[in-house]
Amino acid sequence: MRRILVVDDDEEIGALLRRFLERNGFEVDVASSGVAMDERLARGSYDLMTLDLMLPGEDGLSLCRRVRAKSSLPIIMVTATSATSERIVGLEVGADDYLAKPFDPRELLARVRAILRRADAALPGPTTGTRVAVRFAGWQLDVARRELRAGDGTLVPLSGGEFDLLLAFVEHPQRVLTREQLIDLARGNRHEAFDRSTDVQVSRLRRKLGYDATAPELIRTIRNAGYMFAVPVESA
Amino acid sequence: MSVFNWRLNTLAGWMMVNIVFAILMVVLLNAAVIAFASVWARPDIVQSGLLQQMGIMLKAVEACPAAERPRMAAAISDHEEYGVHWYASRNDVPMPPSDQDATSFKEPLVEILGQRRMEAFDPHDDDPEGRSGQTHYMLAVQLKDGSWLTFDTAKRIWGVHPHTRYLVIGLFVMFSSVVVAAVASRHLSRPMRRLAAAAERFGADVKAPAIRPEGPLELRVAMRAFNEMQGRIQRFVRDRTDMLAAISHDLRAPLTRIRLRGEYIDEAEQRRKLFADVDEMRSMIDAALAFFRGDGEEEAPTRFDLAGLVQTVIDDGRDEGGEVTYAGPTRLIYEGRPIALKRAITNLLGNAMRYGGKTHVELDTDIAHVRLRILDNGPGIPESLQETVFRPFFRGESSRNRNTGGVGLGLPTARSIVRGHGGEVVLGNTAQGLAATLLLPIESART
Repeated sequence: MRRILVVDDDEEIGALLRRFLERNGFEVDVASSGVAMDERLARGSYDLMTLDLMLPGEDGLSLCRRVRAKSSLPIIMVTATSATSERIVGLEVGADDYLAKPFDPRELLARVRAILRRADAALPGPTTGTRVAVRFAGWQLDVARRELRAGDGTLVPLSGGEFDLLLAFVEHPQRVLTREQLIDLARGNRHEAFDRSTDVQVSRLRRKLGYDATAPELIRTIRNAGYMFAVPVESA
Repeated sequence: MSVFNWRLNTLAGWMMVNIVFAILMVVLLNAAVIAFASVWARPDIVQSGLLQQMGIMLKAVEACPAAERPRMAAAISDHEEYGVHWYASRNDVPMPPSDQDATSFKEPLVEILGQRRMEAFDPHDDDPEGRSGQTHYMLAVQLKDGSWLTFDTAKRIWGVHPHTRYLVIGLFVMFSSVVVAAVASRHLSRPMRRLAAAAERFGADVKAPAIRPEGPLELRVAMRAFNEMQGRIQRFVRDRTDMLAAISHDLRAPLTRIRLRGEYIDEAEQRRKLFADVDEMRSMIDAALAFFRGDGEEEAPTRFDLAGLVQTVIDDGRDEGGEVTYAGPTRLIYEGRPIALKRAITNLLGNAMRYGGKTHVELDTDIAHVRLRILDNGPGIPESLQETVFRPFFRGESSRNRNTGGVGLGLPTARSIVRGHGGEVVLGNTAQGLAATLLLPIESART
């Protein structure tokens, strides 16, 4: 059974999350501070950790940095603000994902599953480098800021769903991805905004990437299989 | 005000200095004009052809026998403009001795006549008292046999008629007075205009910076008082904002608990409604924080594709089931804060879709602005309310809004974001419904 460590100083939230996740088939421990977290991590091994940003004593950012320095334990950062700056900082210190309170527990569940699936599925997970910024075919994708920029520095706005789809492609370049795999990968980052069919999202993304008409076709349709991101990706 | 208190750096002092300066400038300018005008308004004798005429006359007289010369001279005199006289010797010439051999027009005369003795007489320079009785300008040239021929003019010839000349000088006096007075009073009123501008800016933007006190004493006092008032209001607003932000922030933990507890409600319909309530509260908190913190303001301006942004917002609206059409360029580069503008456009489009059903979005540019129009097919808003709806927490008819949610911060947030870009949002009714027009000043917009 998969083990999750929930770090939150609000004991009620901790207890509720434990109950919710246990009901969905996980084994859950709760720690209410950095010290308690260290004890738990020393005693047992976990598959994933959710980490509240505002904790008494050592804060979540510092804890995240510290844990990341020692291990590749997947971390979902949970905060009480939806400010962009905090999300950026969270992803930059090595968190795998980010969720603002109050969150839909089922969205948390979806992200937990996506990250775990990534961790052991046939698809190799993204390297840490891709969590910050990548380059492909003259484009630059700042993953932490969720910004896509053209070669001349012009920002091209993406919807949440388009960004998640592009991120899924960019993290698995030059590889055929089925529609189901794409939905899985993209939903791991965002739950709701992916209701539209993958094909619609892909066509919107193509329209935006076709911004520079001289660029080669970036997203290729593979008949009876899915899509492939056709250019190499390098971390920036 | 006692004499000792009378400092120059007061409003009164500034006014005095300005008036004195203005008068001095006018006097100096006019003195300069009169001095120069008397030079350039006088016709250039070399170019007038008079010298050539003189040369010809002189040769004609010289060619005559001495007895004929007085008659000849009288015959060629033009009594309107100048007189020509012949004298047997220098002593007969009615002109005081003059050393003005090197007159300004000697050179051209020498060219025509060869080297000769010449003397010129200027009644102002040579004989200010008029003792010689000679009041005309006069030029005397010696003939080859030693006799003299004189040319004199009855009047000094100006380029323009005296009446016109006085009119020109008068107009110049008036014109220069106006210019000097305008410059001086602009200088005087500059600090006042700065103060007025600062007050106006503070009215629109509570975060406006303090004004640097400068200018006359009275105005510096007023500026300091204004700064203090602005500071107090800013502190007051900040305290309130911080309090509201803290409350909103603290509401997130209990909301998270409510949301988690909701998972254990068995009745599906009640559970769905509870989740909807939590979502609504969450969006209210986000809206309140966005408005009071102005969270777009910390975003750095960047070049981005505004048309792409508008289409993204429209795509999102369509995903939520809205019926939206778009007319405009596929790309339009603009420099601004994309996250903030996306929020503003989302709010406007959200309103249109909520109250107006089928929505049409138009994006175009003219020389000065990017214009985004969001046209819906709803009932519109009565003209008397078209400004009121931009007030924070204003919620139209309560019945209409209760059901559809919203805190009454969507329009004020949109307006404050757009004004932060130097633009404006206005509402107006069309034949079909409501039109929200968003204008952004063009500085770097390019299709």
